Amino acid sequence: MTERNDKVGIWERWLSAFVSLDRRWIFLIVASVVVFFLIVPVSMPVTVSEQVRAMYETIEALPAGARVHLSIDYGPGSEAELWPQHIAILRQLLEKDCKVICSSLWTDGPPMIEKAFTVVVGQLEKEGKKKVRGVDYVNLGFKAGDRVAITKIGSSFKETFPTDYQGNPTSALPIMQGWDTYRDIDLLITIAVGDPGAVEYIQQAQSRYNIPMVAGVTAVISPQLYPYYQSRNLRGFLGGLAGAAEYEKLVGRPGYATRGMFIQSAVHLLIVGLVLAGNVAQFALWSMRRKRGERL
Amino acid sequence: MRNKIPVFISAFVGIFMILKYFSTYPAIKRVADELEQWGVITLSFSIVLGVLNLIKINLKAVVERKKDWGYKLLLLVSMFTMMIAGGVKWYLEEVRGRQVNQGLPLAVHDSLFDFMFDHVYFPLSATIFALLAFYVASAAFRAFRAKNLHATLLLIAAVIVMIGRVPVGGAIWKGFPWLQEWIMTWPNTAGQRAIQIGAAIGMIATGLRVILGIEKPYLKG
Repeated sequence: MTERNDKVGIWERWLSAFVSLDRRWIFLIVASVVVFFLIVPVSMPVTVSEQVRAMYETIEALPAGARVHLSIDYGPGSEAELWPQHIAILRQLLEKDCKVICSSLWTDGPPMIEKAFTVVVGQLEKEGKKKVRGVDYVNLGFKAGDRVAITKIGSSFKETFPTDYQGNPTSALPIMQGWDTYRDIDLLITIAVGDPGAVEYIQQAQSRYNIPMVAGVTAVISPQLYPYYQSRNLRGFLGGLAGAAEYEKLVGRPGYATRGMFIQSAVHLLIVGLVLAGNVAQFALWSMRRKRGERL
Repeated sequence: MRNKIPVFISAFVGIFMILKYFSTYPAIKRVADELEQWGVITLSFSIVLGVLNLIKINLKAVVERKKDWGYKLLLLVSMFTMMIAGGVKWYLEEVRGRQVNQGLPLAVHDSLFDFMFDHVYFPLSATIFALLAFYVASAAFRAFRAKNLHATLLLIAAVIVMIGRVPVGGAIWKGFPWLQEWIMTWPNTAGQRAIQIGAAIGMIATGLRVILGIEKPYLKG
């Protein structure tokens, strides 16, 4: 044992300790980086990707009065990634005088819809653009049933949602007059965190009714949407906070996502640095042990 | 008979849902629409069933003072508090609102439910989600080791996507965002498509087995 310890130099002990670094040290480093860049904000130029620009252009091409079904399929847990997307998209739609019909397949979605309406309608009112609930926008609330609910919404909004979130009969609301199915919708948007979300809407609504659709999703979901973007089922999509920051750049209102970009950049760099350093240390350790003739 | 009726119901519903997709015949559409409505109502009841199950299991654990009974009690208290707060909000919007808003319900944004949602549920959910960043950092440090060719390829792809996805990638080298986009658009799309097509074929096969009564998952448990 003593003979082995003599052979193991200080470098090897250090490398060994680093390779099996206690995760609490990593937590501490990540927290320090996040807090530091929250206190010292740094701005970075954001490059807009093709699918984000395509989504922006799809919404920009909508005429005034276009009917948009905005399905808010996330809760407070994913607020950090999806709230900036939600606000940027809702504001763009209301500024363009689109009729925004919101609903949710997630139980905690309707309060998010209400919060976003309060923020965006309040902002627009301050700028002299008054938007009226039930005329320009509506919150239809939550509907259970996942995929079945999506197909039901497609065949009749009024049967699926007999009342809105406040309890008003939907058939009496001015925004709901003269239409009822997905065939009457000009654009379907979902801001989603998982299942049910964008993929389920593509499968059950977009492909069945052939309606234009765009989506905003968390970064972890976005790889699943590339095949649908390539096949033109999706006209465009936003992935995570980075997608939201790109969208904020396009709409010309840098906000929460743009501010968060440097923090995310720093944490990504930190993770990459740790991974690379871990590999270098591991290789060095292997090489030292191999030289001593130890089996790995 | 107990086995035959469920098989007949699932075959009937399944066939009409498929026919609705391919047929424009109004009678088929009417029946399928009605079945969808039943589906939505039945699935809504699953929420009630879930709540009742939650109460049954956790209440039993609290009464019998089982392990972690304190957390289970907290869960029940929180659930009932939110239920009561939701009921109060409904009363304020539906009953009180109609009295002051010419017979129409009123949107209330300062109820106990809104307070609990904004100041308890919201930060707690966001905190749990934010913890992911710490676990991802720690897991990446341990898992991304170039032990063989496959692991090395995964490591290289992960590093490029992680750097190229954020603005700092473009600042370090202009090629990072392009390379990241290339990985996501081609290799990722090919892989995702293969998985999705495989899953879809599996789903069709399972659907047919259920419709034909070969597989009866609803009779189990």
